[in-house]
Amino acid sequence: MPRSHRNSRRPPKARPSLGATRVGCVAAATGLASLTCLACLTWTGRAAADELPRLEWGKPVTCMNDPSGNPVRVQCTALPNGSLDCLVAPNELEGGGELEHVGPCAAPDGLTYAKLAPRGGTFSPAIAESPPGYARSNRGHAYQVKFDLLNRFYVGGSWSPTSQLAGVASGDSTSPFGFGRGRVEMGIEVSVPAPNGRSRHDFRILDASATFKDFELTGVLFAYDYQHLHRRPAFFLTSFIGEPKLYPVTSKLGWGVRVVNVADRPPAYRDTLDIEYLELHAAWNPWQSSDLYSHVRFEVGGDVGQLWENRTEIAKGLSSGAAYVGFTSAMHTRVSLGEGGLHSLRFDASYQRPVVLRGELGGKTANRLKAVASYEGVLFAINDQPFSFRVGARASMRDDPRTDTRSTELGVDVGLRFSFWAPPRVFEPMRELEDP
Amino acid sequence: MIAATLACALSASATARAAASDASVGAGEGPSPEYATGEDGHRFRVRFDPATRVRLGVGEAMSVGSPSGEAALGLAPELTAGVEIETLRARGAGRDRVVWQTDHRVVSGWLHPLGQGPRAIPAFDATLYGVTVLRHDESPSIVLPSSPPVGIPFPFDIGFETEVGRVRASDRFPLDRVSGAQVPELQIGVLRGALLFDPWRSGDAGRSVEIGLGARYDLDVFGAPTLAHARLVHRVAPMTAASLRWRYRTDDGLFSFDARGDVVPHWTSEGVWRVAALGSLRIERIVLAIDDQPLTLVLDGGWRLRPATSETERAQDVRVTLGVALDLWSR
Repeated sequence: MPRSHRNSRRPPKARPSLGATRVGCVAAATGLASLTCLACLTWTGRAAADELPRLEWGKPVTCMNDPSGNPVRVQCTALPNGSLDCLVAPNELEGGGELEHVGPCAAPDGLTYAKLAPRGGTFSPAIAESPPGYARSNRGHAYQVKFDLLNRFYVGGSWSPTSQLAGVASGDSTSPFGFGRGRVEMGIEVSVPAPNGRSRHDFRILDASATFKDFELTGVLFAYDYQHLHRRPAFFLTSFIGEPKLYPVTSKLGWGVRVVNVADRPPAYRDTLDIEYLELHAAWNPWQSSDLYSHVRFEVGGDVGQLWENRTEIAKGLSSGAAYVGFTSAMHTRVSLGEGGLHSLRFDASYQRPVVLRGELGGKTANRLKAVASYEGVLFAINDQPFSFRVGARASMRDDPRTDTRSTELGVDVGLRFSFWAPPRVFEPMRELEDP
Repeated sequence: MIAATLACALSASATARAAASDASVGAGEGPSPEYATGEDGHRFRVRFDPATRVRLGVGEAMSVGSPSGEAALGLAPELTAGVEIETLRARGAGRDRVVWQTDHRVVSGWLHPLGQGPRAIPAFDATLYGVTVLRHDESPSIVLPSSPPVGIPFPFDIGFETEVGRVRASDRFPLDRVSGAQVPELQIGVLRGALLFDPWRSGDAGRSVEIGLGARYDLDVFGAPTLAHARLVHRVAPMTAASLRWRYRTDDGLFSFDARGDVVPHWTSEGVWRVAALGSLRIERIVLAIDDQPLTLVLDGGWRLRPATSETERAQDVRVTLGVALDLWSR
């Protein structure tokens, strides 16, 4: 793993450690001509490369050639005596090549150190700046060290041993899966913070998985969730018991929708297919991090879908399934450990109670409970695309509305995910107050 | 479209009330603060006009009926809804001041969506439109058109009330005289109107004692045995319907009280005179407001004596509801 560097601040003790010799600009201090200031320009000795300071991202940078004619990036700080304290970084890769992920720089023609610092200055070797979320190697290569795993297209695979505790409804007393079960998965996740609205919009698209051997297929076509951290009161409550009193009420409510959620051939019901067409829910976020990246979220809603006890009957058309409506609820916990997005914890639990509307199972209800706890950590990155390790435990309980049998499944997932995109995690501060 | 119409009506009502308020200022009464300011500078309403609103309410209703002498107690959830608009129009000042107070009620009533037992229709009470108009005169008098005209002091405010299209289905149906079975019944108040006399003469909105005398036409629809094959009984009260109503409302509108009793001797299409009676009581207290829209605690009760017919026995029932109501567009 590359070492993480903070770009925003230069180490305060860096300069003395470089062995720099600061030459006082006597001539400048006594008001002599600028020519004498040439003597005041000091090139400090080169220190160990991994201790080199970095140019600061966001501060002005000047591009020029050093006295040897090499292209450099120079960032200076004015000192009280009028001289400059400058960092000088190569403006090309070691061995040649254009630097990537650098900020804009001014490049006046014919600029020299003397013209840049007419009243004297100190020029120290450094490494070019890099944007937030990136670090730069001594050779000049920029590489991403922070990842936003809420924005990615991922593919993965895992070892997913699953055991079924009771209620084998398939008639097959031998589990069709077992210790050697594997899973492949993919999905698109998009999370858009909206600082002006002090809110965040989360999308999941084609988030699906399939198991080897038994080919259980689960997936969501599209899901959207909204959360906010509004500071303006959602409404005001006035009490008229005694003297009228006003209470501002700030809600942490959100909402979400899920479109086409498929559960095909779950372990205990090998012949069934469940398609939830639409689910709507209101959400309450009792805890959210300041950037809404991490949260604890409770959801309550309802859904509508269709259930096929014999999955092959869907070939006869959608009308062959038993329609249902139901109650849905869920609790989601999403915690990012640290600001780098390298480690994240999740806990998701859901409870659903659909009621079959018609057909032989008309009026029947079923309980569905599911919980997944997982950890995902970035192991390394290939060309800034993170490769992560994921381990999780899951449990589910599901009723069969026909036989009233209940099946419980327990399993673990240990696997790897490769994520595309995954930009650096953005820490754009939310506005003090959301837009009205 | 409906919302726009309603908004216009409410706006007009507000304008009228503002004019009335101006008139009262002109009469020497100080304006009352409708808003207070919270610690953070947010203004919030502390006075309300509970007679102008779009009301949505929910409660639990308890009903007691005594058909054939058998009392039975039932509980049912109750939904209430309705639109009420009150306007005040004032003219003149001092002894010449005249205030017209008009209270409209549009599509208002209650419904028990989960009535007890198998019923063809749920219990409900809905009115298409009703209006009560009171004219307050600071110098009420009866003027005799003699020469010169003679004015005789008249100690009442006067007014009238009208109600069109009231339909009721009780929680309990009357019993058949022969079989003792419950007979489905719908009571339709086709039209009623009455002259009102107010001896209290408060001149304030929502405060009156109304003595009414009027006429009404009601139609009872009895299932024979179902409402699809109905038997009709017409009831006509030719200026024999007497009523007494007491309304009271605090200045800030947080508390209101409305009690009413009716005694209605009437002629029926069965060729006999009967006497029906009704009583109602409504107490409201605004306990909360959400964004200045009041949430009201409501105690509502009603009693009815339904006279016997040739095929059904006399019945009476009492309904008491405790609930809350959210008033939208309240001023």
